[in-house]
Amino acid sequence: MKLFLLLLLLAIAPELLAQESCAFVLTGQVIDEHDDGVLAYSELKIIHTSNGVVADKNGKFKFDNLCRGSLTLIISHIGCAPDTVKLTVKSDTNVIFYLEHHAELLKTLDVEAKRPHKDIASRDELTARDLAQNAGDGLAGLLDDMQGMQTLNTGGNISKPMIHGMHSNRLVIMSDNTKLQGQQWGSEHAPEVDPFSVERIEVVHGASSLRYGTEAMAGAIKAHSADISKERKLKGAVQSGISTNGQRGALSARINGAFFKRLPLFFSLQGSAINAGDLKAPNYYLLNTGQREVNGSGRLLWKGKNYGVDVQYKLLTSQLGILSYAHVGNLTDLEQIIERGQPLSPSTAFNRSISSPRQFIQHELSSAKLYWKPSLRNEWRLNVSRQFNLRQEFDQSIFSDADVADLQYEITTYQMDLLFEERVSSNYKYEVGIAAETQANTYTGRFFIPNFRNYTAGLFSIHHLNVGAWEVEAGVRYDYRWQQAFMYQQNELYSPIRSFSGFSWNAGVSHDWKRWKAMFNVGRAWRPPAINELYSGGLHHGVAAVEFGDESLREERMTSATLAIAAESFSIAGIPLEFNASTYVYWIENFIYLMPVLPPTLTIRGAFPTFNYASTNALFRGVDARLKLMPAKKVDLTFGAELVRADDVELDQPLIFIPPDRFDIEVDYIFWQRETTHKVGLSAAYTSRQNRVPVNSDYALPPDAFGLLGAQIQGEMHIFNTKPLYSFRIENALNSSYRSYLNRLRYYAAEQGRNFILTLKIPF
Amino acid sequence: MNKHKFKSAAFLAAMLVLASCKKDGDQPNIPQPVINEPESITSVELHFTSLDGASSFRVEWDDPDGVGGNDPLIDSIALDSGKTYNVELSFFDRSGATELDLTSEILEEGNEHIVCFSLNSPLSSSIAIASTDSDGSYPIGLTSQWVISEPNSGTLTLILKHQPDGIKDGTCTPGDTDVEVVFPISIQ
Repeated sequence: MKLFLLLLLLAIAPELLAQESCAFVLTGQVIDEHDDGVLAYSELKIIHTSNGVVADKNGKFKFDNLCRGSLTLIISHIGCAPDTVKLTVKSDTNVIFYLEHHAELLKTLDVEAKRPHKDIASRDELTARDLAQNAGDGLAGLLDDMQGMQTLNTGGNISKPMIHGMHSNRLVIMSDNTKLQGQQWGSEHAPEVDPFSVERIEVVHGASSLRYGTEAMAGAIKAHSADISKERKLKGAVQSGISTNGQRGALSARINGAFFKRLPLFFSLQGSAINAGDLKAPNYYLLNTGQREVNGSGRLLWKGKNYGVDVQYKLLTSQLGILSYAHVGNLTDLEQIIERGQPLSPSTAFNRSISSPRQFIQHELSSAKLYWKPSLRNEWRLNVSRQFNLRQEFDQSIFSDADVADLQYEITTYQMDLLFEERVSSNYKYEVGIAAETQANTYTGRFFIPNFRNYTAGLFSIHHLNVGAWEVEAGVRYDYRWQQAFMYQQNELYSPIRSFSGFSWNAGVSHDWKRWKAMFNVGRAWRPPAINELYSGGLHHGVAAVEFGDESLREERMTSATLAIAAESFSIAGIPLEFNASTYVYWIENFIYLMPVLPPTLTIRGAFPTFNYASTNALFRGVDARLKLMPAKKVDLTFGAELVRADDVELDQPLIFIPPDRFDIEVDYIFWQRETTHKVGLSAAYTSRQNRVPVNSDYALPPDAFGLLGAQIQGEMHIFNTKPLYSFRIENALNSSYRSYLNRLRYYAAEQGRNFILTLKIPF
Repeated sequence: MNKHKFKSAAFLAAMLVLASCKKDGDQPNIPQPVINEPESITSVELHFTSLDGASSFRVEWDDPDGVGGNDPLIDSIALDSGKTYNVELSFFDRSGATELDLTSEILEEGNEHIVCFSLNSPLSSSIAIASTDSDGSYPIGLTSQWVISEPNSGTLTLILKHQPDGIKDGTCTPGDTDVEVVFPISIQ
């Protein structure tokens, strides 16, 4: 009897203890292992209890009031084999589950331990919700707040993303499975992606050449479309974003569904439009910084038993004004503007029209993806695409016809990528792939880059191994490019041929200690010199400089090392926190940059500073860190820091146009949480002065440090059967006048002032 | 039936996609002849006529191949002390096969243009330049009168400013520079 009592006591003791700590929260997300898409409305149930929840449409779920101890979860989703996962809850926990999402394989799937098998790399992501709350922003603007990301601007309305201080020819943008190809060499050429056509954006930091090809030295930006195969019913969403600065309006609509009742044939149609006028700096309007954009996309997806075909068509049409004050005839004009500190006759009235100088861009992307899973362990993927990019630039000159482009490029790119993946065992898989590409470019009008044709081919293999909590990944890739350029030199046709080749390799290891995760990556990457670096020649309008390419430039080769750590469901002094940081070192041989040369070029407009493309050895290193504290249940406090250092090692001086240090802090408070959630937030960002600049390479000293304040309120409503998302925010709340070092037109005018932005997303 | 439907739908979609594809009309292997080479000033000519009718000559600043390439050809200006000259300016585009005279276009938009002359310091005491034309409110500077006093030497900077949208105020401060050339001058 005594023994029985003792046993009973022992048996209930954990229960007693547990009752004290039954306030833990388990949150997480369910993701499709196959394509990294979120699995909306997955069901999660704790085994042997009645405790179950349904994930939301972003695959996110939450269990409240969990007790300390072990539990087993069953995760299921229509079309997926249910997975069981054992977890130990010691504190508030956040987890990500990867499910294999293949309806037809359900019967035969043997439940085995699933591991994420993602590439070992530091990454950050914008979810559908993040995108909805920033509806109407351009791609670069959306990415700017992400870890390790900066924005390179030309005026207020032309932006392109930077990763770790690198841009243009040193990073890759993927539009689904296709590498975006246009005239991306130009720092005033914004990427041709319609953010409204995108469901999720993922950023991979550091050399990602193995998978995305030679240009992915600083990383890759991956824009993913929504998975339209989850819903057979006609579904859709209307999104809009309105902002006061620039009187900008953006509107988008999307519908998707299935064609025939019994066929796995899905479709989606999407369109968007943006109309904006002149932006406003605190004290004057930024004349001619308007924007017009009309975009559309259509998609057909056939999801067969063990194969699928995904056909997409995207068209982007964009018209952008270039800040009028930046039109200067020569260096004297530029120096006068810098000395004056503001435009001579700043615009005092809002103006919606766009006049010269301006850009007109059309980008067309057609792609077809085919996948085939002959068995559970093997998969073939083929992606073919065609892109056409038209870029027209209209100068402000009395002698030129305002309706005929002074400079026009047309570039057509065909790509083919074939990938074979085999999961040899539950902890080893490999991939083998080939990539081929050809490009043809022509120009009309003023010469800046020549006509050219490219043929590029690559071959790679990546191996991925799990050993306990360790993951190891290693891969190698070879790329070859043949290029012929065509131009006139002294009225003679000159058509030089160059070829470039090289190996890239990468090795990564990561370890998962429940609450800590660490990742280390080393690799080698390269890229061929871009067309402008080889052959450009002429006056670069807007920056009042003459630039000359150097056709003897060789491949740029980079050795990189990245270390990243992440801590989740961790706590210090009872305050739960999340922390992640990554630090990187890039050593780049033959780093191509613009070197100032003397004497200046004498032209009929006066003497212009002259730059030649040259190569040196460069060293980049930096840190990105983010810390999120949850000091009270409904309060989040986030701190972020980004630091980049880059030097020309041969000349022993800093490189130009490297982002200054940036620190930010944000506090969010959930003020309403019933069936809908609403929160308010305040943010402050500080950007330091860039004191590390090379001598004699710039017209003006770097601008002063600046701080910006912002506030926002966001949440979801419940109207009839839909849950519209809304957000309202203020940027540059104090209407401060400042200039950003990363704006190429900072010599001419201040950045934009206060801006109120309202966004709305109504799903139906 | 369904299969047929699907096939025709897919075919239709594929045709639509293909038909709507934009095409690059040019071939990359040969740069196309420039259809709309923006006109640009490559040459400035000054035509001097002395008031006494005794001498008449031209000088030019000529860079037909534009930015880069060959160096511009720059003439020196030789003037006689004590004389007065009428000076007429001409601007040309010599980048193409045929020479284009752009002077009349500048004159037509006289209210958006101004020519300024600036002489370096020893020379400025020896030459007095006054524009003799007008757009109605302000001088243009395509014609001018030069009064020469004692012998000297130095340089002249000639600037043509484009001052659109009513910003012309008779000075060379507003607008952007279309031409900025320097001539050496000697006065005998």
